[in-house]
Amino acid sequence: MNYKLLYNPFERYQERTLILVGSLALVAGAVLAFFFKARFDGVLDLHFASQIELWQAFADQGVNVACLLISLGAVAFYMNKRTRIIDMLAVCLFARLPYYLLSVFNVNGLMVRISEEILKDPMALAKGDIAIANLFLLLVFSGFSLLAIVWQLALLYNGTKVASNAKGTTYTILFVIAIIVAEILSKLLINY
Amino acid sequence: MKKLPVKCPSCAKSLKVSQLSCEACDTIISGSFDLPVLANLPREDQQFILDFMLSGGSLKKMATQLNKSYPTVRNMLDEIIEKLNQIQQ
Repeated sequence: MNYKLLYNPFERYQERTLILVGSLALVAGAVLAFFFKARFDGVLDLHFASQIELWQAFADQGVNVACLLISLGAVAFYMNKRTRIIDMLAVCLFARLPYYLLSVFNVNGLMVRISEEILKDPMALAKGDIAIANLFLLLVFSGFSLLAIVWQLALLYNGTKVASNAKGTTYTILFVIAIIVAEILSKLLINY
Repeated sequence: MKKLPVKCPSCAKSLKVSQLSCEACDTIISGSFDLPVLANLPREDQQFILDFMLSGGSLKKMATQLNKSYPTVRNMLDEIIEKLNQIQQ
């Protein structure tokens, strides 16, 4: 198996394939978020809620992709004026893919219930009074969340690099700034 | 096919063509001729340029042939252009 495809499929697959897969994943991700009551309220955020509307699930994903497209698109155009917007759209749609499955952790409101238990007695975690099963679930969720964030960032970094032929430290610095800008922008747009 | 040396193995400066011969009549021409700019590129870059010309200058066709994405193929071309600019300087 070619493992490079996992973190850089952009060198191989055409933009139409990536856009199609990314769009289908966005729809599936929004539907999953609705059923499992997950709010993707920022490009790097995921919170579970007690109630969520279907339009909110789609709006979250739409705003996140748009914010990534604006900030990373600006970096790509700065690095190379010949960057095509369609390639950047493919990157922003496809890179969100690892994130969508995290919603499933809130099956039957599980994550909300654990969060509420912890919030009732925040010191329980420090005192070791938290149920082992809950602690285990939290650890598994944290591990998968971290993996999904790193995977998403790797896809965005490599995708923008391929789309704009960007290289060097300047690109890395601008990429980090663009992700922070996208996170702030998406947070503001979704919450207000 | 033997690889055409373009750099001097001793001092790394660009080599010149000093002799050409006709295999049919054994005529030999001596002189000092520059190597074509394209000959200074690595063989895989020369092959890329040849394939690019044969595909009618279409990066999309090249992408399909090489089983790579359009921006990857465009980046390969940009890198070759950069190398050619450096050689010409």
